[in-house]
Amino acid sequence: MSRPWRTVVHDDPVNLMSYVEWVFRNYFSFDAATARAKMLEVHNRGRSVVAEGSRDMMETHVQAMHSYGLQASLEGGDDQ
Amino acid sequence: MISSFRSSGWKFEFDIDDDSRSVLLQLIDDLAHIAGVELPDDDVDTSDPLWQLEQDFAGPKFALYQSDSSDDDGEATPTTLDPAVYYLYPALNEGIDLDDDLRRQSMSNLNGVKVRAYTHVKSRLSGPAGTISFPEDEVESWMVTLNDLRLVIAARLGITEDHDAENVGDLADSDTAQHQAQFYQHLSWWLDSLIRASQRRQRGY
Repeated sequence: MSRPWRTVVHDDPVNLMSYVEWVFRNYFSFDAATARAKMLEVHNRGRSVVAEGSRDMMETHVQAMHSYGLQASLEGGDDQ
Repeated sequence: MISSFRSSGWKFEFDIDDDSRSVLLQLIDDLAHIAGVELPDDDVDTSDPLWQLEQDFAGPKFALYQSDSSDDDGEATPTTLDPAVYYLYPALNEGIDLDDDLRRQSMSNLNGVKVRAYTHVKSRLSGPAGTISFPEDEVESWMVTLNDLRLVIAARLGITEDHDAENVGDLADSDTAQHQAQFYQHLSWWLDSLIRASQRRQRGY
């Protein structure tokens, strides 16, 4: 069985940690603790899966992350 | 002089002098040019769905970068995209694994988002200096615009690694770059102050 599609946010040297956290809270409506944990995962591990679901929905999320200036990609389906 | 952002009742506000206001307005026009978007006239309703569709459909018309090479007449020949474009449009980053359709969609859809954000901020800054305020539903436009300004300056300064970001001053090898580095740090502080004001607002104080 294939894994669900995932929206992955990648670390970059420019976006502020506080900004990344704000984007996660503002767009995904994460609570403060989750948003901070995801942001720290991006910062410390270089990437974080911020959403899972249908391909269409994940594509929408990736485009939204790009609109905020974050590096984001789509992963999943049958390619894992 | 620019003050930090603060939330006050239904709105957010900050203080700014005329010189800082003029600089920001100029930078936003430059930002729109680099991103290849055209800011609308004052009388355009950016909430109009048809207008938004037009912007998305139009797609960005990126600025070309003025390269150092020159043609036979000695004229500089712009041949490549401005490097800042790659910071403003993450879908252009070939290091990010995206299929071609999603890359195209993302590029196209970003156009309308950026025009709306830049237009909101420019409109607020176009009034007299002093205290400038804007409603809560424009916070996102301010976040996106200030962050995009940082992204462009980061591209100009050559920030590509965490080490660069932590030592911005070391990257500045000219007076112009020194000014850019100082402004980059100032913008970072200003954006962070808006994030903090937004968080205080969410917590109810």
